[in-house]
Amino acid sequence: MKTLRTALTATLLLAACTFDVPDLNRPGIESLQNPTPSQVEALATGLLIGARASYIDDTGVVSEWGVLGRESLVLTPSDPRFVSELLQGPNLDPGSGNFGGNNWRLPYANIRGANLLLNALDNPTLVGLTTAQKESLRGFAETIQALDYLQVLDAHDSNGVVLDVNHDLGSTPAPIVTSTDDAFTFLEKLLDDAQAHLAAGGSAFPIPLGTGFTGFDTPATFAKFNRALRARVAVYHGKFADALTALAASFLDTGAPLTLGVYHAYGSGTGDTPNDLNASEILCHPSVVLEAEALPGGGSKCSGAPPLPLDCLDERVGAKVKALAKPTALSNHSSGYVFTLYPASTSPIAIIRNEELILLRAEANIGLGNVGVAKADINFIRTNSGGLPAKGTLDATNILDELLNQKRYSLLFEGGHRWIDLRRYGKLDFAHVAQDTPQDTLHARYPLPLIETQPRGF
Amino acid sequence: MQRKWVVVALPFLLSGAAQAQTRGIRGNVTNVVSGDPLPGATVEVVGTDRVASTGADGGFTISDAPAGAITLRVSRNGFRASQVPLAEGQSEVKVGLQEELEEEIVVTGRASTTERRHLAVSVQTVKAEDLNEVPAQTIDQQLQGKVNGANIQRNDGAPGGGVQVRLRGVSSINASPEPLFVVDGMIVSDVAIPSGLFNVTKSNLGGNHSQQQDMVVNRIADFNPEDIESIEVLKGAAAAAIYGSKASNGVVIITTKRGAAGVTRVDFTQRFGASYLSKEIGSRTFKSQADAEAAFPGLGNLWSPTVYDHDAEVAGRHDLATESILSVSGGEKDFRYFVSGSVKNDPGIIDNTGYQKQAVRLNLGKDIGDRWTLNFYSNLVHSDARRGIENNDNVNISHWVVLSSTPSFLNLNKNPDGTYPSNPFVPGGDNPLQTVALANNDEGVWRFTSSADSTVKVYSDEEQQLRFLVNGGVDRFQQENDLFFPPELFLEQAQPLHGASIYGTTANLALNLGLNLVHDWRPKSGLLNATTSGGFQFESTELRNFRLFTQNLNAGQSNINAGTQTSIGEDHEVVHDRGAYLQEEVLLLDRKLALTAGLRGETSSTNGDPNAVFFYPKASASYRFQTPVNNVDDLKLRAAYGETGNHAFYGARFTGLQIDQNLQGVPGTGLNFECTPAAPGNGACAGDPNIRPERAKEIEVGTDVTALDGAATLELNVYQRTIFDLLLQRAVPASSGWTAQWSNGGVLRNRGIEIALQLQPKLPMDLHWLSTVAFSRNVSEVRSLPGGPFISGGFAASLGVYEIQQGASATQIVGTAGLNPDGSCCVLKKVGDAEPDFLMHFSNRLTWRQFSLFFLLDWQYGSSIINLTRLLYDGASNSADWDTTGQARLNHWVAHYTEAYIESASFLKLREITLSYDFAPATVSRFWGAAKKLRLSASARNLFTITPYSGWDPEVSNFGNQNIYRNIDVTPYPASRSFWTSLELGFY
Repeated sequence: MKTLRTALTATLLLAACTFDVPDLNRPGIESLQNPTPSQVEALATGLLIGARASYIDDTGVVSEWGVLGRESLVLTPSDPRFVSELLQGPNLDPGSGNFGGNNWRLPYANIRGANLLLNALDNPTLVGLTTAQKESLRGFAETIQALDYLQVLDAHDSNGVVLDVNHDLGSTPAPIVTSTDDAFTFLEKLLDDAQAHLAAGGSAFPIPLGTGFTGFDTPATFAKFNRALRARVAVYHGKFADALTALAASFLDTGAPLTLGVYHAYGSGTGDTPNDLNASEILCHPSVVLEAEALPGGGSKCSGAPPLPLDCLDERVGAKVKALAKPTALSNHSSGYVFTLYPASTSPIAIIRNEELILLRAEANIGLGNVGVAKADINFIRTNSGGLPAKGTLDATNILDELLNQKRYSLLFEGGHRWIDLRRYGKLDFAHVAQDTPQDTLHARYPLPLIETQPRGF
Repeated sequence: MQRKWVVVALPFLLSGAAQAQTRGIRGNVTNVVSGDPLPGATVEVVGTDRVASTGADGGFTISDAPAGAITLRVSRNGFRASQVPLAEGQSEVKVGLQEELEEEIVVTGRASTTERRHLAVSVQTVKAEDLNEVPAQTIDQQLQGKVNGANIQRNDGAPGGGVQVRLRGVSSINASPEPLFVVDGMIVSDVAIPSGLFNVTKSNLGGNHSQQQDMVVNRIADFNPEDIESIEVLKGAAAAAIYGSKASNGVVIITTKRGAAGVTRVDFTQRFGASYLSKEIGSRTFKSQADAEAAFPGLGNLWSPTVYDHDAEVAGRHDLATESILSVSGGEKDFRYFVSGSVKNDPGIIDNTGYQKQAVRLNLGKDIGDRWTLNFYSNLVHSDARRGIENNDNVNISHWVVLSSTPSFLNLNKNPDGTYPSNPFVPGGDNPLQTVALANNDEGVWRFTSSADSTVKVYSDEEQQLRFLVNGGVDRFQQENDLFFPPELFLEQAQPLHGASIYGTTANLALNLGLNLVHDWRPKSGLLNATTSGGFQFESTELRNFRLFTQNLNAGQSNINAGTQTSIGEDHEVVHDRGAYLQEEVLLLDRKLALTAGLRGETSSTNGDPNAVFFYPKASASYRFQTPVNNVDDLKLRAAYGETGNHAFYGARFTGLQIDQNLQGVPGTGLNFECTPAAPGNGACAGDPNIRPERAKEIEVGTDVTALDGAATLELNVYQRTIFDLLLQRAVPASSGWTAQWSNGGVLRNRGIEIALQLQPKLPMDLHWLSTVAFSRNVSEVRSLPGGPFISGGFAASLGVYEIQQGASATQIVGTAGLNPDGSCCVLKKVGDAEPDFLMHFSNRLTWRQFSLFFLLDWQYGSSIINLTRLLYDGASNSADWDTTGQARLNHWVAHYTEAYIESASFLKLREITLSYDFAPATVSRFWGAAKKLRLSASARNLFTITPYSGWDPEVSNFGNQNIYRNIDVTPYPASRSFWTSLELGFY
């Protein structure tokens, strides 16, 4: 038998020289053992491509978290789960690739991408980039990584996140951290670390950051974006003084447009990612219109029973929502409104912008008991963004609800802000959210997905 | 089923006049059951050197036979020789031969064959006449119900193919379930390439990112059933081990028709047919505006008491189908040819769908002297399948996704001005009748397959023979997909970019080369017969696929360059395989004991180490008892062991970075999400630089019994197949960035039994009845799974998923079963299993004089289906049984009970039925002098299906051919039944 095996082996090896075939479709990850500047730069741009991926579909951050917070409604015959699970089910299914799984697999893939980049930047064989350029990319990578971690944390909250993931595939998985305090502390440190790298990052990044970062595309200006994220994390963490410090170093500017900020950019070119949030099955939840504050002095057409015409309402509603000729209806749910925020496949989606920073400053001040300062910021938003009159009656008892309401309309359909905010303050209930049918339920956080728990043997 | 027919020689004493010394004898030789003439039979006058062979009409003449009483010996390959006594003076004779199992030649190696009676493994042969009883579009469809132990099912009812052949249960978790197809010695491609429909339907952006939701066609569909002489199915590893790491799913060896020396024979067949929707699933009848308003708030005012039958409106077509086949065959002493051409047009039950095929074949054979034989086979096929817009969809354009929420009171019919009304019940407004009329999903294929073999007798004497065989071939096809969604479609109008067009092109090339030496040794002592064979094979495949998808069509043009937003998909795969083998076959003890042993070594470029050699041994033994007890003619006991494998997927060695993305023109890479198959949880996938082939070991024990003078035969097989080193997409914690990594590991076991009983009772009044009952049962179990359980396929736990789990059946369906005690979602439990408890086939052929009736019943018992079509109807409060059970079913599911949508896939189908009449040759000749054969027949396929399943058809797979996650029903192309009439004319 052994002789026979040897004979056959000899025949095979004699019969032809080696027939190896490389990967004909894509470069291998092993090539990063000896990284080149072009590979490093492609990985860096890839972080922006990866980060924007989970915002656009009807099962993405904007649309699906919007459904959970009743900003939006997805009614499509092709998938009843937008109603049965997101609006009615007793709890979310951890074994679903898209309903929830997106909020785990996409950010963690991008976090791995950032770690591949960070490891490559530390690789001594990398030549062709200056020390400052490497520092700028470190700061960039860690900031985007923090954004990805924040998405995981926003989605799963106290159900847990995994933080220490820069290990080779196959090594023992790091623990699942269920303490949000620990998770926020980790994020704060990561963002501060990134800020330090950016400070040593010289005057320019070696890569273009696209139109989404216009005005924030040098290490110095990008650091203002870093501080803005740092402020959001601090507010979510309840570290309000830290938040004010971070905001001071951010791009918050009441003299600048409220839209000033950093965006996910989308494109229509070959290989670029289009923004699909204009899909016809994504609707605006009717409560957004029904519960909007009316503008003063609207005249007779604005005095009927709700829903009022959109031009009678808070100007933010008319700017972001339009009425359909016929409602879309399915499974006892229905809406006659759609969003106009993202009309084109190239429409950008805000990551963080001036309007949120002003509201974060108000929120931090409310947290610190500075009601007066907060009131000024809130009324600034009411008048400048909503076209509403300033409210004089705000005090410690009602200012938080007013803030949350302003955040609802200012940050409408921009990434589940309503859902996250109500959860953070324990207000995610039918007292604060419209209930369309008696079967409707509310989900506070995504379960840990099966794609994480099953391989761990849970 | 195997043809095991006993010899019945039927000499008919006819007139004759005595002559002195010598006399002339005329006669003809026919197949006694079918009545077909048998060309190429040898007729000898026993004890003399007078020999003749029959021509294409089965006739022969011997001019100088002795005048006295003599005996003729009539023999032909595949039939048992027969001795016919001729009385003195008799000058005409008719001889009927019956096919017999024992004389059948069966492939046992890359270059060796044996007679079936010596075979120690189970190999099933399906002959042309059984294959082509009722017309079908593809070969695999025609094999349904004819191979015991094979589960052959369509994936949907769409025209042009998409059929899964699974032999002896699940052979792999991730590899294709399809057996290896070998046509005239050439390994041909059976790949299934997505059309690109997913670009529009976004089916791959939902709960499962597989692109195989495009109603894919596996390309064995290209081969023309009419050209086939016989099909051998090597089910077990012992038989298939000669194909090594390509044979884990079994091997199907197809032999096409050849010419025979003799008179030129011309056959012509003309068929007409039509297809009808098998059944309707229907939808809810809304009794009042209030009912409508409750289901569709704000739209109840559109209610009217009129009820429209949307199923019939979309799938109610039954246009005339036609098929014409012409073949010419014949040859001289050392030259043989077979030429055929066919044209087929088979319209689908949905407008703008259908299947067209044109094929030509040329097979040639030439003997050069006594020592050298050359054969050449070639086939050119063009097919055009218009597949329609069905299956899973996330944008509401797939016909029954749209109809699931379209109430029966809505009028979808065309307006008088030629436009269509918009459908307010789906976002986007799609009207299926408009989509049927305007959208196209066409798949065109040109395929050329050619192979040749050369056999040289290098040495021969009375005891030994040494042959050198070379065979090689080329299989090349181009598949082109043209999909067009004009801007006028409501869905396109609802999107910012109006109109979409897809062009996909796939070039596939396979090259085979084999060199073999075969040595036969038959010592005169008769002590033994020994065949030693050895050889080398090189096989190479290349597949290159480009898909262009463009939107916002300039002036509504379908050209790709008319779009303003274009994306490109590309895939390129090259695989080189080498193999060498040595095999020994010995017959001992008066040819009653047969022993075989062989070893094959292989390398493949898909393995982590492309030069590592993997070995596939086999061994088998059989012993025949002749007339061991009364009424038992022959009893064979056999046992076999063999190993086969599946070589790794192309690309499984590599952990790649995705390069097809950019940010506003700036290139960027990240982890690769474009995994084939799609990674569990739709994540990124990593490779394994040490990946090896998946391997199967199989033990098969069986018996073949012939009894009652051949009136009954029984075949029994028991097997155990253990697959180890499984090619797994091992689930890894998704926080690593990847959700899966290729790796080898785990053990999967299949145990099964196959019983086939064939009866040919002797009946009075010229009645012949051949009845076969076949039973098979396979049970799989995942014996070990080092990485722990993982989800192999499906959409989500709540929608039912196929979970691979140690100790469980490989095809178990797991779903949610209510909340956990802590209120979190959910208890997971087994809710079904796609594998049937058993399959049974009943095949019957009754002949009475010129009449013949054939029917085939196919019974599957105890398989489960995830019926998501029903869920969609329920989700829209629009199911036909909504008021009685639908609402409760949906509520049960919303409370996290997947079982609400798991249904039984048991069925009993009348798969085929044909009634035919053969005119006597003399009658035919009277009408048309040149014609000898005229057969008229009427037939039907899938005439009825008895099933508890509520969907179109329990043969369904949203994800195409899948070892594990079949039986998921998401708005497929509906099943149909077809009716045919055929006219067959023969001239010779």
